[in-house]
Amino acid sequence: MIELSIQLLLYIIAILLGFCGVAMIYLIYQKRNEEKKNHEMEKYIQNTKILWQGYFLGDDQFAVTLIPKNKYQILAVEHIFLSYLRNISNPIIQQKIYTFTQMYLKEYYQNELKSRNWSRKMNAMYRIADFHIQELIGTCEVSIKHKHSIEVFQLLKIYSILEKEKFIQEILLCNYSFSESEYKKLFSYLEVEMLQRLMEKIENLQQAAQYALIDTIAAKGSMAVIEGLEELLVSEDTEIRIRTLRGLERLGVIRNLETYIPFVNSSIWEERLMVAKLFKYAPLTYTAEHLEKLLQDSNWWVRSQAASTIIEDPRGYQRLKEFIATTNDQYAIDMANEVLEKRMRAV
Amino acid sequence: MDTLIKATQNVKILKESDIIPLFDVLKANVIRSHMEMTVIFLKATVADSHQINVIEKLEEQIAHFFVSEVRNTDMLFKLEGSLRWGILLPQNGEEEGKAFLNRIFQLVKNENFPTKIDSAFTLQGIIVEIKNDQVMFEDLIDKQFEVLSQLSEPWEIEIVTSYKAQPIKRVKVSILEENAIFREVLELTVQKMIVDHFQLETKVFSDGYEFLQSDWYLSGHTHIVIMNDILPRKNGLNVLHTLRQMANQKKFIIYMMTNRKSQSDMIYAYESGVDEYLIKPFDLNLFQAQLKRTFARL
Repeated sequence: MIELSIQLLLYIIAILLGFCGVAMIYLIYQKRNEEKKNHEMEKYIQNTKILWQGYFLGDDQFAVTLIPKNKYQILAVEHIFLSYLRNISNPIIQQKIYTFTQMYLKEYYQNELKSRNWSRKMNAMYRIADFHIQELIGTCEVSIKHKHSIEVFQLLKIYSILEKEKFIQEILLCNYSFSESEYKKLFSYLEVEMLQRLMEKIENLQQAAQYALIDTIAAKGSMAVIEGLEELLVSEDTEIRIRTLRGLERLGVIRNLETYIPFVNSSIWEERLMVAKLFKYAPLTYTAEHLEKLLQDSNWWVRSQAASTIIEDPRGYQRLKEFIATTNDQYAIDMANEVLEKRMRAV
Repeated sequence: MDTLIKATQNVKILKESDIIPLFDVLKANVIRSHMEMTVIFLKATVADSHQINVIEKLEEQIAHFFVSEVRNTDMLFKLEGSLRWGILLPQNGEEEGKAFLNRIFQLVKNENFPTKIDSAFTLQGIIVEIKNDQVMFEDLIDKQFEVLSQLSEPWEIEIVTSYKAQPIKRVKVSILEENAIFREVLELTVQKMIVDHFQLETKVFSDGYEFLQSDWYLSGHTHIVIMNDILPRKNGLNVLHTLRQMANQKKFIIYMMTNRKSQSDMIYAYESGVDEYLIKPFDLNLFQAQLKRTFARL
C-alpha cells in the first residue's frame, strides 16, 4: 500500500487547485474576451447598419464612420459583408464590397496571412476568396509553406475564383486528392468555357475530379458541352460512362440517337437504366423498339424506367396496350400494366 | 313571368328592380374573383319626341336591336323613364365597355341595323366600371341621371370613375430568416414596395418556432410567408408542412429561400406547397418583381 503523508496530499491538492484556478481564470478571461468581441461587433453593427443599407441599397455616399477602427469592428464588417454577399446577388453591392476591402482591409489580411496562428491564416484565406482580394494571392502562396490539404484546397479555390488560368494549370499538376464534393465546389466557380478546356484534359485529373467535372459541366445546362460529353461515352471507365449518360439526360437533348443504341444492350444495368431515361427526349417512333426491349430487361429499375418513358409519350398508352397483347414476358406485362393503371388513376 | 318584358335568343330584358339582386351578387364577386364589372347606361333621343305611340314603338325596336348586339352573358335592363337602358357586363372593364358602345354607335350612325327601326335617333352613353363592393345600385341610377342630364352632344360617351377605387386589402407578410442583417434588408425591401390597394403588415422572425408560437399566422388574412428552408429550432420545411396542413392553408403564399440548387430539391419544395423558390444569393429587384406578380394575382 502506498503511503502518503498528509502534508504531501495537501501539496498535491493545492497544486491541483492552483491548476484549476489558472484554468478558471483562463476560461473567464476567454469568456470575457468573447463577450467583449460580441459586444463590440454588435455595437458596430447597430451603429452602422443603416449607413451600410443606404450605401449598398440606396444612393447614399460612403461615410467615413464605416471604416473599421479595430479588430472587432473588422470582424463586424466581415459579418455584414458576408451577409450581403451570401444572400443578395447584385454586382453593384459586390463591387462596393470588393473596393472597400481592397482599400481598408487588405493590409489587415496581409498581416493575418503572416501570422503563426494557423486558424487566423486560414480565416484570412477564406476572406480573400470571399472579397476577391487578388493582390494577396502571392502572399497566400508564400504563407502556406507546410502544405496542408485544407490550405491547398483553399488556394485552389482562390485560383478558381480569381485566377482561372492558373487554376487549370494547378489542378492538373496537383498531387493532393480531394473528395468529389470538394472538386465540385472548385469547379462550380468556373464558366462553361473553362470547364470545356478541362474536359479536353480530363484523363490528367484525379478520378474523383473526373467524376465531379462531368457532373458540374452537365449541371451548367449548356448545349455547348453535349459534344464533349458524348465523346466520354466510349470511356473504359464504367462510372464515367454512367455519369456522362446521367449528365446528358439532365441536359435533355439527344443529338444522334445512334450514339445511345449500344447502351440498350450494355451488360451494366445502370447504363441501360440511363438510356431508358434518356429516350424520353426522342420521339417514340424511333425509340419504341429499344424501349420495348428494355421493358423486358432482367432488372426491375430498367423495366420500370422503360415503361415510364413509353407512357410519357402521347402515343405511349396505345403502344403499351399493343405491347401487352403481343408479348409473352409476364414481368414486362406486369410492369406495363402497372404504369397503365397509374396513368388511369392520374386521369 | 311579369319581370320579363321581352326575350330574344338567350338575352332577356329585365326591369330595373329585377337587376338589383343580380347586381349585388356580381358586386360581391368583384371582390372575391378580383374581376371588375361594368355597367353601361344608354339614352336614346329622337327628333320628334311628342308622339307617344312613336316613342313606344321605337323603344321596342331599339331594345330589340340591343338584344341582338349583347352577349348571352350580358344583362340588358330597362330603366325607368323612356328611351333609357342599362347593360351590365360581368367580368368586363371600362375598355371593353368603351369598345362595345363605339360599336353600337357606329352601327346606329351607319344605319346598319340587324333589326328594322322606323325613326332616326341618336344615342348617349355612360360607362361605369365597378371594382368595389361598396357601391349601391341606387347610387348608380342617381349617378346616371345626373351625368346623362349634363351630356349635351349626341353620341357622347362619359366615363364615370367614382366606383373604380378598389378597397384596401390587408395582407400580412412574415419574414423568417436567421441572419439579422439580411432579415432587415428583406423587411426594408418589402416595406419600400408600393402596392396599390394593399396594406402590408410586416413582421420578422429569427426562427420557425418563434413564428409558430406567435398567433400572428392564425388570422384569416392573406399571408405571404418568406422563409429560409434552414432555420434554428424549427426549420422552414417544418413550418411549411404545418401551414399547409391548416384548414385555411390557401391564404398562405409561401416563398422559400434556399442555398440548394438541385432540381430534386426544387421539385420537393414545390410539391410540398411552396409557391416561389428563391435560390440564394438572389436579386432583390427580381424578388420585388415576383412579389408584385403575387399581389397582382390577389
